[in-house]
Amino acid sequence: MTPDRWSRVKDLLCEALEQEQHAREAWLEQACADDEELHRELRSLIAAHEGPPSFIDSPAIEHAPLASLAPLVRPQWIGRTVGRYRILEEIGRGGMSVVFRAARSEEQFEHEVAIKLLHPSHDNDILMRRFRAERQMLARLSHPNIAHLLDGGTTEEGVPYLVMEYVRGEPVDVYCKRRQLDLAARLRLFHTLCDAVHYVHRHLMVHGDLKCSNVLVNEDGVVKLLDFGIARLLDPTDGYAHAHTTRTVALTPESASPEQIRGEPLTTASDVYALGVLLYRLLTGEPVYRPLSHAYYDVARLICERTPRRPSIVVQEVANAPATTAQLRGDLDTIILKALEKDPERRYASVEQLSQDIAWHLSGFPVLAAPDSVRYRLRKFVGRNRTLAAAAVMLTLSLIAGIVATAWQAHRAERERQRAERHFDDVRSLAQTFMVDVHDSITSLPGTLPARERIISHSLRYLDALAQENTSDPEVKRDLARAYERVGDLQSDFLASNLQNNETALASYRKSSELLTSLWEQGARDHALLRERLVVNLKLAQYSQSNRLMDDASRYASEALALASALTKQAGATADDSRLLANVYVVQGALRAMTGALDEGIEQINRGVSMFEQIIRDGDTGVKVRRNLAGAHSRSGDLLANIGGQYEPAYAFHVRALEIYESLSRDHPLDAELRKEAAYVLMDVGEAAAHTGRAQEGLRKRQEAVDRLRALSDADPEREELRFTLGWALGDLADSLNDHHRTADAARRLQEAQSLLRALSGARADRLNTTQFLIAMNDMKLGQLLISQADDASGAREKTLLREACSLLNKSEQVFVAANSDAVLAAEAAQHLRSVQTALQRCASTPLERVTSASSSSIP
Amino acid sequence: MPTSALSVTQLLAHWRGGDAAALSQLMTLLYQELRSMAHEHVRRERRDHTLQGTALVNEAFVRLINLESVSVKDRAHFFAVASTVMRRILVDYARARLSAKRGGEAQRISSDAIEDARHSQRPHDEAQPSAADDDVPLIDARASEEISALDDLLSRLAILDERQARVVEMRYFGGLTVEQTAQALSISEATVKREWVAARAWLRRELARAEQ
Repeated sequence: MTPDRWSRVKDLLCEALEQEQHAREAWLEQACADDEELHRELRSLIAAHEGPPSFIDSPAIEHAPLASLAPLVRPQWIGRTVGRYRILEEIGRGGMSVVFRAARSEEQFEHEVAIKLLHPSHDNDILMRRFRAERQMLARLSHPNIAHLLDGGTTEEGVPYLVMEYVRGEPVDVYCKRRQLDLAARLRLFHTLCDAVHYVHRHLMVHGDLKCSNVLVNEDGVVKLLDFGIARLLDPTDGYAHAHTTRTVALTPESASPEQIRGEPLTTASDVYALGVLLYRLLTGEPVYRPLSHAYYDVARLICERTPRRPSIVVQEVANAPATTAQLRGDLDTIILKALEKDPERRYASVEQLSQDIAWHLSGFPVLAAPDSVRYRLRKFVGRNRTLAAAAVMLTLSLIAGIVATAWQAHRAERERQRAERHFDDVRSLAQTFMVDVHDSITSLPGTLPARERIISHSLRYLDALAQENTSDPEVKRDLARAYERVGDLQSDFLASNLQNNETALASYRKSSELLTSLWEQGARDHALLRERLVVNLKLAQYSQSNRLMDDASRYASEALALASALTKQAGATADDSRLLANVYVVQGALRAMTGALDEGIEQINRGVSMFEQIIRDGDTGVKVRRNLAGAHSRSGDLLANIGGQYEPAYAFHVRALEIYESLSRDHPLDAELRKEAAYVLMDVGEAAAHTGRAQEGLRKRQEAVDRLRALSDADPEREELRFTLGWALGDLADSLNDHHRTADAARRLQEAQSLLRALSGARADRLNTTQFLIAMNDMKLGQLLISQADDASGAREKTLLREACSLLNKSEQVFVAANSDAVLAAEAAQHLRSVQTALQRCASTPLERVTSASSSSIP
Repeated sequence: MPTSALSVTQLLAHWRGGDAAALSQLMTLLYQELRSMAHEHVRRERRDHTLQGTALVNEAFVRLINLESVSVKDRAHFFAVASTVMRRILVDYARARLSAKRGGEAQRISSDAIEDARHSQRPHDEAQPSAADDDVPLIDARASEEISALDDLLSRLAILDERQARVVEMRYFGGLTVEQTAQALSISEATVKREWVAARAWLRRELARAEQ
């Protein structure tokens, strides 16, 4: 056949197929005229078209085993009879099987069972042989908390199945969450589960696939363990021929133990590990690990290498966590981490021991698990797998260097982002794993701003795309809202680091707030949502205020207060909810103080302070609440000093804030943010000390603040915030030096400050900003200093000094005049303006003034 | 260090700009990516999660392309190239498997799952892996026979009608939809359907004849 010929055949074929079937033959006769070969060709093609489908009818990639479950999905199982059971409905499916509810058909009273149809690629003979060998054993198991394996067989088309007791219930994690069970209730459920597992261990069997979806709780609150013995029935390596097949087939990655990952045999210790994973989730609401991706290697590495984070620490970050830090710290941390030991021999020797520890904890006895030794852990870690350990060390090193890490993160981030574009489900992992883990892991390391900027811009573009695509699903909406909030955090954090205006962060928070509000209006009114709305409103209030949008800030703060009051009144409100309410008081108080009601504002902040103190007294001594408390003190100090000029009470507040920060820094010596905040508070103490006759202390504190900020800024030179603050601290230090009549030293500090500040981006911006304001303040100080030096000088030197001073004072005057119309800066600007104008009188009294004034009129 | 996302997008642009070398680089890169993705799919499917066979090519597109900077045209080109590459991968695999079978050599299956997973993480600059590297059987023996036979038939069809053969390549090997195929070939969807129906009839007939 030639191409031309085929082209004709093709056209005719398509036309023929368009004919009604009964008219087709006549049509063909006519179309082919005398060409008998053409006629034959077409007839055979039509026959092929109408004949049975061939493998080409579905894409190659859907061939077995790529679409290995297809045989299970295709036949219509509902209504069929398998063994003695009639299939009623599908109740679940996993990678290996589909589960149906079924009923014993011939009996008068319907006896319900669950039928699990297994992947037909299992070697049926082996499976059935094993089933028969073990059915006696399985049948002997009789425990109220175990759903029994009843029967097994093969369907007509060769699909193996298992028949189990049917349990009408929900997975234990879902059950706990829905009923909002408290810690003790969760522990009691878990204790019952341990007993059931222990019972089977005594019968010399291992579960091998313990996970929440295999532990159901029925309406009456009775725990039922599913699938006992099934993992073992399915285990292809259990003494049979397939010695080299991978063992991970039947496993659920999240609950797989390190030895399962390594392909070692399942033991009772593996079940102990899986119970640890389960307890971790029940008590924190979080999985033990959040892998960066679901790629097997990533998951496997985490399981084999990473020490789990302490549950008591994890719950600090979880909204509406089932337990508090204080409840988990100590016994429960130790119990869970002992169950999760990488080395099976370091775990509980039996489920009974684990169960015993839970019981002891419930009744208040000390527990068996002893805290781990770091040295042991290190030795084990390195000994286990030299290559992996080396890779991990390399990774850590490069992370610290911040070079390779940046490229790696960006690559990883990009892939994550693209994958998530297809799966809405991945929003959560993006928002939490990638943004939180990746960003947080680098955020406290100096020198990572470019990587952070990239993370933020990618996340935002990605979220905007998602938000446009589909926002009808409440879960997606919620995840989007969370992600926007998170991006807002990153933006405000990032922008603060670079002294940029944070309107973009406000926009993200607003998007988050809108999504949450619409969810609320749709009727999703749970505690967590209320809390999320509150947090976002609080942030909106704070950042509106720092953006000088005072009306917006007040509105958001009132809304936050309403939400916080509702939240803390709800049943199940936690200490952390109270912490949020206290924060609302602080924000609102600051706003009042700034808008004319100083005393009332301070009073409001104090309400927040008492609440923080109460929370700490009640046992929560985490970073968050202590930081909040210190922040509230320093807020009061600032307001009293800057608005009211009341330095004595301000001093007391700042000293208290400093004490808290110093103790926090001692507890977290590597946290650069805490060190930064401590340095800021140190400046405040110095300032207040200088204004209250504590000149020596003021000088000391200010010198210390400069030293600390210089070190921080040297470590992270890209971060403008640090250089800005250092410029500020140098100006403060100059004040103290001046007070001690060390004018030359003071002038040197001011000059250093000015050269630092003039290099910042804010100095060149069109809009008046804090950098320009600070430069003006230092210009003013330097001008005043030069005037006092001029007073002591004479002749040409006096003139030079005066000319320079007047030029500086004129420059600063212009900035202060402009700042006079700024909501936040006005009060301070007016004060400085008076000082500048007083100093400028000296300029007016000399003939130099006209010249300098004229030459500086175009500045800045 | 350019990421693969940038590379694929850039290579597409270069190719569109007339750089023929870009196409071969693109194909090499896609060969590795798609191949490791296919294996990842097999593993994932066995462990859990997905039930449907997903069009790998679509997933590759989402994974490898910088979505903001890609044009409709680039997208069509990507699908076209990726389908060809998928055909290459599956045919290579099928042939290797068939020849191993004829040689009486047993299929090697690794027991080390971690090692196995590591293959899919290999950077692109490593040597192109051979089918013998595979730890997870991508396709079974029967599919190997089918794919090999189809590859031969498609080569014959391409002599008669190259565009039609491309339609089959995209639909069958690439797993593309009618719409995607139409965009990739700049033809109407109706034409794709007609070409597909005719080609399928021809292939079914030829396959049946070959069996007899």
